[in-house]
Amino acid sequence: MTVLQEPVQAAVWQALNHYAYLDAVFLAERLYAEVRSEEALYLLATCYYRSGKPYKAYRLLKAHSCSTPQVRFLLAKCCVELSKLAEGEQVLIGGVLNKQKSQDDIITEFGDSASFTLSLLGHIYCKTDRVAKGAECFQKSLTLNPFLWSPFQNLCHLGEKPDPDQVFRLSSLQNSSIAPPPPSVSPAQNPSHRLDTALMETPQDTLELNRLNLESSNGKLTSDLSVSYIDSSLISPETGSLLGNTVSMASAGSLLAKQNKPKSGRSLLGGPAALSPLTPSFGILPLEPSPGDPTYLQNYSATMETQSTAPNKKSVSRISQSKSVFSQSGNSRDVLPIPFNQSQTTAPHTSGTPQVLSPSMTGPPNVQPRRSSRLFTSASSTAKENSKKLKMKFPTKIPNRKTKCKSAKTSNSSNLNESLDILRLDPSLSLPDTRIPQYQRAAADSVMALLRDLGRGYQALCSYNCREAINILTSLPPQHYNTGWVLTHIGRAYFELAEYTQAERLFSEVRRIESYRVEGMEIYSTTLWHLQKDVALSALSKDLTDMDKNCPEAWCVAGNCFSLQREHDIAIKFFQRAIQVDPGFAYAYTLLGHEFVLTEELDRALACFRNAIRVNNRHYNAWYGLGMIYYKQEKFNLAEIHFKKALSINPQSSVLLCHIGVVQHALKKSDAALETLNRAIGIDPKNPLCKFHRASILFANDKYKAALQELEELKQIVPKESLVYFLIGKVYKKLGQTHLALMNFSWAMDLDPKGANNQIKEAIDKRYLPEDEGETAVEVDDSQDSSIMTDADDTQLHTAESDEVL
Amino acid sequence: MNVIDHVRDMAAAGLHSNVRIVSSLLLTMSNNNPELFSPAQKYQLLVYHADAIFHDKEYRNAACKYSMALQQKKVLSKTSKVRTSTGGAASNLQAQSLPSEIEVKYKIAECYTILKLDKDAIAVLDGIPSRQRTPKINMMLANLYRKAGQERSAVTSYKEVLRQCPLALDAIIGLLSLSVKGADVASMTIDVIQSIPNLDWLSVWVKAYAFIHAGDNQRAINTICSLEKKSLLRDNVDLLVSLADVYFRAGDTKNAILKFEQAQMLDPYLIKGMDVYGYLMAREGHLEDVEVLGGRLFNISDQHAEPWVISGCHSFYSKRYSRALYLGAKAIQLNSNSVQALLLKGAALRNMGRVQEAIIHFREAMRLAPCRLDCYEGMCLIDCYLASNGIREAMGMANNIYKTLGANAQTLTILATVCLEDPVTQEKAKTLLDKALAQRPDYTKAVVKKAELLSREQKYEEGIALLRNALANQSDCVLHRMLGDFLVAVNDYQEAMDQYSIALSLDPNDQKSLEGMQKMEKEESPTDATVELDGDDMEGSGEDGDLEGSDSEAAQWADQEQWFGMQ
Repeated sequence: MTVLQEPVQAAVWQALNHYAYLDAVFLAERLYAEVRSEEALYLLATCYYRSGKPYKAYRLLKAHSCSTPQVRFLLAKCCVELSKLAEGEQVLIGGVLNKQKSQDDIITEFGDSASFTLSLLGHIYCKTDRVAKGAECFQKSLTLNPFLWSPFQNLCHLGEKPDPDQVFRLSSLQNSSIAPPPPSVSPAQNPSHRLDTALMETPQDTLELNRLNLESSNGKLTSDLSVSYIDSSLISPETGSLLGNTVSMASAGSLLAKQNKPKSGRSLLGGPAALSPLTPSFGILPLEPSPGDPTYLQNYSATMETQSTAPNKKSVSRISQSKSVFSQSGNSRDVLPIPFNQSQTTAPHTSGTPQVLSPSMTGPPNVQPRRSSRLFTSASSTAKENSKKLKMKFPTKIPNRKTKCKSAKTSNSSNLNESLDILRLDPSLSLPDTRIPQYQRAAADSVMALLRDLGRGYQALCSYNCREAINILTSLPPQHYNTGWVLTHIGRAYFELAEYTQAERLFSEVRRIESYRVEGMEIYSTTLWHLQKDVALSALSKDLTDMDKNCPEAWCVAGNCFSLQREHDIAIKFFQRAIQVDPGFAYAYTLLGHEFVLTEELDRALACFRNAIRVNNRHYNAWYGLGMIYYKQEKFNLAEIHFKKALSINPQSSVLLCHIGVVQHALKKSDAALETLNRAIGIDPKNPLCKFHRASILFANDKYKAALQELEELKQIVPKESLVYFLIGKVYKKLGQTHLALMNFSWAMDLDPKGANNQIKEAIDKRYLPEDEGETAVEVDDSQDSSIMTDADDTQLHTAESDEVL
Repeated sequence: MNVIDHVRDMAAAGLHSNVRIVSSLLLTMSNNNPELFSPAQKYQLLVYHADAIFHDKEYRNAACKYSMALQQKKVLSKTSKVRTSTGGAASNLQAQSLPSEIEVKYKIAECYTILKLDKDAIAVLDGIPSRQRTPKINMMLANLYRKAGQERSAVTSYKEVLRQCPLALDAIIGLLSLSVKGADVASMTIDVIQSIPNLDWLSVWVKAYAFIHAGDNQRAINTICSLEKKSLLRDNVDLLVSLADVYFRAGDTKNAILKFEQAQMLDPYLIKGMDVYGYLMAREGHLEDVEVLGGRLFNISDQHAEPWVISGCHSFYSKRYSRALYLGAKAIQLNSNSVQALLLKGAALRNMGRVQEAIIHFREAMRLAPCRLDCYEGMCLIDCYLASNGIREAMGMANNIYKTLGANAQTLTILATVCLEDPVTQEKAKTLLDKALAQRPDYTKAVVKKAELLSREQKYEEGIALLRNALANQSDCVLHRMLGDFLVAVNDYQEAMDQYSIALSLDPNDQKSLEGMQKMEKEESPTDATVELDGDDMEGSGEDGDLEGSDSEAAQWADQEQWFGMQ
């Protein structure tokens, strides 16, 4: 049966590569029925998972004891996806008798996929409110694999402040794995690769060792040449980044892939003659096979199929393979296979039984890069796809070599020394090896530099240093600046700064560039909400809900759209739909909470905000919402607690400070309130709301002069705000200057004619009393706020609302 | 071919109902006219008749008929002796084709065992000379001896079985359960292991069960895991169930459930061990799953205790104790050795207030499974004692557990719990808990008890540190709630609110967290109210309505200014 296994496996992978999941699943099911090995099980589960049915993979894997780390990882992944967090944790770290495995244990056990495992584990910890441990896991994951973005992102979300400069750099370990691996690395990782039998490992390691020796001897030669590589990568950061991805795949990928990397370099470069003409093409090399390149994949599968059945076809298939991959590398390509093959045949091998070995070999090497590709980024560009496929090809050679070797030197335990000698004597083989890593190193470094910048920007945004975030992100190179991700985040930063017009500009740009982008669109919709642009908002809502009905963002946008139309019941339905689609989407809860507040269902609103906090306890909007509700209920202590919590998350928010000031004033801590408001004004000197509150507090504390001055300043900022004039009038009245007071009252009335009917008039009559209607009006009329006050062009609406207030 | 041969053929063909009628008629004939059949033929008829009755599950009747057959045989042997002395070759031949006397005795013993008349069964089997005993008889005898507590005889019988059949694994388990050393048992099988290929795991298997029966859970788990890792024995249901059971005994509920789940996914007809699985799931609160499992098992067999126990657990945890009591009693009736059934019934009795009866059940459970901590755990027995105000007795029991099971975190905690009940031994409880926590820092029960103790002593800071520490590695509703309580006590409402909401998110129905939260909100409001009152007074007394106006205005501003400003 083992003979049968290989071509079927190859066919399954090919089907997977061509997104023919039905075929892949069917074949894998047949294969599993035939052999029932753990490997076939893993393959089948992978097919299920990739065809978007994690529950199938889950149930399949669960019924069987999973011993290999990769199977356990997949099971854990499924568990997490099905939100069986405890079980996922148990699968990953459940040791014997409640003794949990430490992170080091995980690293040794999972080997190269440890970074992903830890990231997953961190995710589980965070979801189960063990933030400290989660952060630890993410940190560790990042140190293991600095190319991972999501752990960093998660760290930022947790409120940790990982130093991007520390995180995104190649540590010695990564250096070693990208550059030729020193011998010390491979043994360390050996235990993790149980599938790769010792037969496989030893010759490889020794090869690496020799390569190192050679490197030192050839040092001078290489250093000269390497300069040009570095330059090329620096000049074009795009290609650099692409190559960096290749590298990342390698480092994330299996040990086998890594070990094969130098070999690929060898085959790329061929003999010494090919060296100089090939150098410039390095930068674009990984780009060449287009993602859907059929010839490549055919060849790939061809090699897969031939390798098991007919060893003598090997060389043919290999040549065709290299042709398709290196189609641009010029004439020299025909020469390429020759040294390559030589190295193959001379490569040391202890004798083994390929029938037994090869199935276990083909599995993991294919698997690893793929899995990593899945995790790597959701928005993987096509170029990344390329690099992945490039990587995937390499492992296929291993079985090749094995069988080849067997055919060439049957059961000849070709001693290592012999081959070592060959390697030493033949500098043409070793020369390119030393070069490739250096060049890759440079590319990786440039990617790291980019990631550092992005990381700094993202972290600044997450700690709500919005100005800084904008600065960092806008200084990115244009090709990165003009991507949906970056623009969305800049837009988000402007949004947090309440500069909605700016934010809107950026978001509309995002829509232009990447009309398919849904991430961040909920922010865009709220921006439009603030700007009262109902037409744009409904267009956005229509487009998104048509495009993807399964993403919470689309439903949030729809909800906002209806909220703007004051159709609160419908809006509530849509927000509920958003939650239904993704129960982990905190913002939807918050929006729903706000909507419930508007419809006066405070208890349900409280529950919504609590839920939002449960999902993401650094979601400051929800803390704010809770504070607001408590404020409404006149539980000022609780309100202050919640506002302060929100402030601790977003310390730069003048709005939050302002609220704290108001609450403190309500708690009769006027001095503290003034101080808080001063801080708020310090952060945002132009915030009319803060100024107004300061003025009212000053007024309440009988500091009329100061209040007057404040209000005069405020008048400059918002000249058409009737309440300002009303307050000025009251101050003058206190000061006994009745004329001025009356003048201001009448201005206030002019600006807000309807309001004049009740409150202002009453104020003039000194008979002002707060009215209940007023309050209800306030809630119905949510839209009047500082944002509107800043937007002078919205006076119409504003006046309409202040009508009801006053 | 005479009529007896016909009957014999029918019996051999398995037409038992037919045999029963015919043989009954023939026997009556023979009774009425003793000359009709020879004694040997009558003996045969009796045996066939008894066999048919046995198949109809009328065991008492069958046993009686078998005894009659034996009686007949005795007569026969006497007469045959006489005959052989005279020299009847034909009768000799006939005697050989007669059903064997030993077989009949075995059948009688079987009937008695089914009828739970163990003593009678032993007596019958004992009557067979040890030379003539087949392995089957030895096995049954050993089981009976073990049940009756005659350990030495049981051991010899088991050993006899093993001598004849070295792969009698149940005999090995039996031996191990009688605390025979694993090495001794292994030495009996060693020859076979060496002679047959692919049986090298057998010694490991013996070792694993030796550890299980020695109560060395840790090593038992390790050994079984290593067995399971071997690809040949992967996904073996029996191993999985054993493993799950050991996990359960070691107090590792999560792993136990996982393994049970895996086992019953692999073999949906699995019954053995499922009672524990159901109990664990019920304890973890997955009542719906328990119900489904119970229904499924009833479909497989209602003659086993397990489905009844599972339904009982479901009833118990949905607080229908009388129903649980009935189901437990039914389970015990089906299998008087079911520890889980005894525990269920005991717990139901306890919760219904019938403490004395409950104690009897728990005692029985303890006798059957002295190594199982959960016989003691959950404070079953001790709770009963405490309920009847016998702290001293409870203390004795706790000490007893402590001695039998050694000083591990669970036993220490149990002991500490008892000590906590007595105001005199508070200090001792504390040291015990500290010891327990030193062994297993995140053993939830110990943490909870320690926290309770600390809250009693009002050492809130210490309690908070303890709970936070425990929560670093796990999230548990109770711990979060307790942390919330502590935080309220130190006036950290902010954090307390967080903790309560986490607790509620883990278990939305946790009444105590809700209470805590509401209490906190209430505690908040009085202070607010007083502030408000002050404010009102000022406003009322002050002639400046404007102050008030500005105040409320500010509030209004805050109100209108956006619910959405912060979106």
